Formats: sequence, structure tokens, C-alpha cells
Amino acid sequence: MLTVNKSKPVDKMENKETQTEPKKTELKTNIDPEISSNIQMEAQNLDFFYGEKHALHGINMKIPEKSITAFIGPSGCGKSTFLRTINRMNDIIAGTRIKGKLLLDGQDIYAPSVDVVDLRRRVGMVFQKSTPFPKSIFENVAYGIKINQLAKSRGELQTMVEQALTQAALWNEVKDRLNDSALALSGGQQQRLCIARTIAVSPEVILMDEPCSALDPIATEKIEELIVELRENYTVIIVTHNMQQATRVSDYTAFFLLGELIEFDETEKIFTSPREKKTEDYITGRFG
Amino acid sequence: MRIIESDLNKLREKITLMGQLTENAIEHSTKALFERDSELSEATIKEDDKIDKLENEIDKLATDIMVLRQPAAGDLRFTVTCLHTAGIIERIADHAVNIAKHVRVLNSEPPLKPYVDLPKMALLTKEMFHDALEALIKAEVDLARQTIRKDDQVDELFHLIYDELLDIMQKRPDSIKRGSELLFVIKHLERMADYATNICEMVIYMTEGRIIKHTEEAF
Repeated sequence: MLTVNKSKPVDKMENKETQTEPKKTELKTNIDPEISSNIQMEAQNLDFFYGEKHALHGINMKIPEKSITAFIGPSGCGKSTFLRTINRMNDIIAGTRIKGKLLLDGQDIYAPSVDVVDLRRRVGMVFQKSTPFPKSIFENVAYGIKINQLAKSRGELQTMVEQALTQAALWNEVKDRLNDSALALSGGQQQRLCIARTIAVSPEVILMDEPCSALDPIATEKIEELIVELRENYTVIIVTHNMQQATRVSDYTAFFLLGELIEFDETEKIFTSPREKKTEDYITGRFG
Repeated sequence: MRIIESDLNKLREKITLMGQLTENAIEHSTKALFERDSELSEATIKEDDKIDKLENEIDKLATDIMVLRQPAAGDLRFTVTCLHTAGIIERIADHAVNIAKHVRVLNSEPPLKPYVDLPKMALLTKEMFHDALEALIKAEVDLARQTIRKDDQVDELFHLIYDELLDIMQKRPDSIKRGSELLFVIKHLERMADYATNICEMVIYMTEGRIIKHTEEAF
């Protein structure tokens, strides 16, 4: 049952939205940047709890499609928690609950009718530590295509794997050893393989949780170049502790502190003239 | 203390020193004019080397800060402002030196007339520069705004003195050489006031992040 399909909105879903229109709370500041393009993802008064712990407080944010948004903030500020709400990765943690809405293409991804497996195909994720399967390079990329039954033939599967590896800037390095173990690749290559695996199932959004923190500067540069190229076709949201990385790759930056979204604006504005003193203090190293 | 803090303090010290030397240059060049003190005008010309050297030091320090410390937000705006302002201050000092060079010529001739409005213009220009510098060092955006407003008074005095000098030169051809020198002097003062205004615009950028130069935006 797929209810979050952009092309075929389900009436039931739309009715539900009307009925459960969240009560608007006053924002402390105008945190939304001027966004002229379509909104891919929107959080509306989103609260998140780990049991009794209130981890996210009233997050309101609109992320435009085909853009790169960086989440920054000190450890424990809620940026990774928020990232993981976007493909419901937090669902697997016992005792968590959510309030408010998280819309993908205007549809609430926490609606009971949402197929979470399909959601995670549409919202892919790349983790801090590369997570290749103990299989061949080819099988790593083919895996998602197969389980989602996206290829009609072996030939199409091979084409899709090649396309994904090419988009992930890895094809030239692995095309002659597709049957080798993915675990034999370098750290940077493994991370690009994970990105290829994510791309292979044609997601709309790619979430990245500190994707370069375990990589050397050269591998980091390759991943950053890749992130910028991915913007052509995908909406990318990246959690990073590296503020220079946020300035290099992102169009928008969101600053989180103690579970609150303090400021969200164009990256250039955040790093030259933030509106909030807390943002200024964080990015200039006065705390955190 | 943050690592960047000591570098920013050094930058602040250097721009303050450069500003003080330039303020002295304005004071001395105009005093040399009004008191016909040729020694003072020569000393003003010689002092300019120190100001030029400081500009280079500020350029290098600000560049180093950007490369090595990667400043953001207020730190970045302060660094950019110092880098930009050092160039402006250097040009103000050059105008003071130019006045001192005109004084050389003027002091070799008898006085054209008693100065009435010119000292007012010189004082106002010096005050504008002083306040612009203080606004920069203390990040006082209100002082920057007040200082920008004073530029109109300098412009009025420029036109007043300009008309008066033209009138004298038309009536007395023997005054043309001295009158022309004084026209240069008031033009230098007028430009200095414009540069002081530019510094104040940078102070608004530094404190508020808004770029108001070349815009119709209210400051």
C-alpha cells in the first residue's frame, strides 16, 4: 500500500491531512529562507521523543527539491535524530514517538498507511561508516534493485548497476573487478559504493550522516564533488560536524541546538551574517 | 581564548595604529597649510611610508586569518572590513600627503587670503575620519550612521569654497596659481570625507551584515 506517491496522491491521505492540520505555533524567529523552487520535504511542528527524553522541539522547516541542505550543531543537538526521522530510521528504536508532521512531496510520511520500505527506497541513506554488504561490488549495487524489482531483465540490471556506479563516480575504478568483494575497496571507495547502492533504487532524497568523517582529505574531496553532482537529480540532506564542508557543498544550512532548530537559511547567509546570536557563537567557535 | 582571537586583536591593533597615523597626517598637513609650516608638511610626507607599510601588514594578516583560521560570521566580516578599510585609509593618507605637497607651493607664495571656511572643512573632515575609525574599532554602528550624515556638510563647504576661489581667480589673475592649489586642497579634503563615509559603510556591513554601498538602501 503506497500512499506517498508523488504522481498518484490518494484521496484518503488528503482527507486525513485536512482533518489533522497541525496547530501553528509562533516561531521565535523567521527561520525559513526565501525558497522559490518546489518544496520536497517539510517538517511541521515536529517533536520527537526517546521515551521521556524530548529530543526535538517544534521543528518547522521546508527543504526545496534538488538542493543540498547541511544540518550543523554540537553533538546531541538533534541533527542526526531529525535526519533519521526523514526516512523513519528512528522507528526501529523502542520507545520513540513523534508529534507533528513530516511531509514528503506534501504527504505525511508518518501516516499509518505509509509503506515504510517504499519510503526508505524514496529516501535513501548513507551513514558515517561505510556499510558495504559482504558481497561483490556488483551485488552491493544490484541488491536494492532486485528486492524492489526495478529491473525487468539481467541486461537491465547490469545497465542500472553501471549507471549507479557511474553517478557515484566509481565505475572507472571498479568496472574491471565487479565480482571482487566490496570489502576489498578503500574507505572512500566503499562510501561511494554505498552512495551508488542508494542511487540505484532511484530515490528522491538522499540523507547523509557525516559521510566523510572517516575519510582522508582526498576521499573527502571526491565525496564532496559527488554530493554537488547529485544535486542535479536528488535532494541531499547532510549532517556534518565539519563546517567548512557545509560551506563547500550546501545551498542551505540548518543550525540545531538542544533539539531546537535555531536558524535555517541560505548557507552563505548563515556563515557570513547569521541572524541568531547562538548561531554566530557556534560557527565562530565561542561554544560547542 | 579562541585561537582566532589573538589574530583578530592584532588586526584591530594594526588598523588602529594605521588610523591614528593617518589622523595625524590629516592634522599635520592642514596645520602646515594654515600655519604656513613647511617643516610640518615635509614631515607629513615622510611619515606616509609607515602607513603604507601598515597597509601591507594588514593585508597579509587578514589573508592569513582567512586561510589559517577560516573565520565565519562576525569574525569574517571584521576581517573583510579591516582588509577593505586598510586600502581606504591608505588612500586617505595619500590625500593628506598631497595636501602637504600643495602646501610646499603655497608656502612659497604670499597668502592668498585669510582662511575662514577652509579650517572648518578641514576640521569637519578630520572629525569624520576620527569618528569613522572609532566606529570601526568599537563597532559603534550609530556613530557610523551619524558620521555618514556629516558628509553633506563637507560637500556644502566644498562648493562654497570652490565658488569663492573661482570668484577670486576671475577677478585677480595673479591669484590663479595659489587658487588652483587651494582647489586641489579642498578636493582632497572632500575625497577624504567620502572615504570616511566608505569606512562607515563598512562598519554597517561589519556590524549588521548589510552591504549599503552603491545601493539606494537607507543606512
